[in-house]
Amino acid sequence: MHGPDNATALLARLPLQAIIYAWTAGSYLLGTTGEEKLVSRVEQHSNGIPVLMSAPAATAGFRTLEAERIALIHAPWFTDDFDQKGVAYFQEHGFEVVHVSHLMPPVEIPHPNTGSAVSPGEIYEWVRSHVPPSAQAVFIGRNAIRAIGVIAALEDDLRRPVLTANQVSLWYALRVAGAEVSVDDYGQLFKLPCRQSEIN
Amino acid sequence: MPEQTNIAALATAADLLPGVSTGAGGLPERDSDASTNLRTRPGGGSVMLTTKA
Repeated sequence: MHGPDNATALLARLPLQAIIYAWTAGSYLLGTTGEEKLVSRVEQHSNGIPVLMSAPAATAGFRTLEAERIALIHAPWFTDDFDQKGVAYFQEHGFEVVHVSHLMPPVEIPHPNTGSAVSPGEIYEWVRSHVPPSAQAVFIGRNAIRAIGVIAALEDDLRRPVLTANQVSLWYALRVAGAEVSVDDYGQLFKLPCRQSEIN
Repeated sequence: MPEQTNIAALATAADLLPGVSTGAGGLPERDSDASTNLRTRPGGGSVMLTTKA
């Protein structure tokens, strides 16, 4: 089996309510149709446990927040071309992308076990200085950067909801699982239930 | 609502820079054995599994 299929089969041995496939860039690369095929494929090994990806979680989050004009912020190993794949992905879902950028200077993609390539402070400064007033919400895409700790500070500064790939994935997974838990300090999204229409 | 909610995550250690070729199913060819990098937190409800590149 391929890696994600094998990984899903391993995780499905556990008593889980949801499996997050934390791969925002995969959705960008594959597009919605390819993404759905991928999820369907790995769910063949999930023993009925729903498999959720980060970009659809962000889509559900934006719709729950009723945000139509969004800003996308990506990791510093993204290129302009790959930024545009993110734009195309969210446009396909009906959003107007009023800003997209990746953190600079560029860095090599890190090994998955070495942690984030950029500091939370660098992420904070980039988002605060680049998100235009027209954006109703922000998505810090890519799962391998430590962005979750800057959500509260950015929401205070920008006065708009800020989503990150891992935060919104967890929010979506909890909502799909039906878990009515209170999560503080990780964004205003956690104060909202997911729109039922966004839960498959 | 379940008494306890367990959620796990898996990640693809894919070097998805533009131009990287993709294999069957649109996944990177280097995406392979997932069994060697399983990390769990004892007593917790979370598991992070990274597929090995």
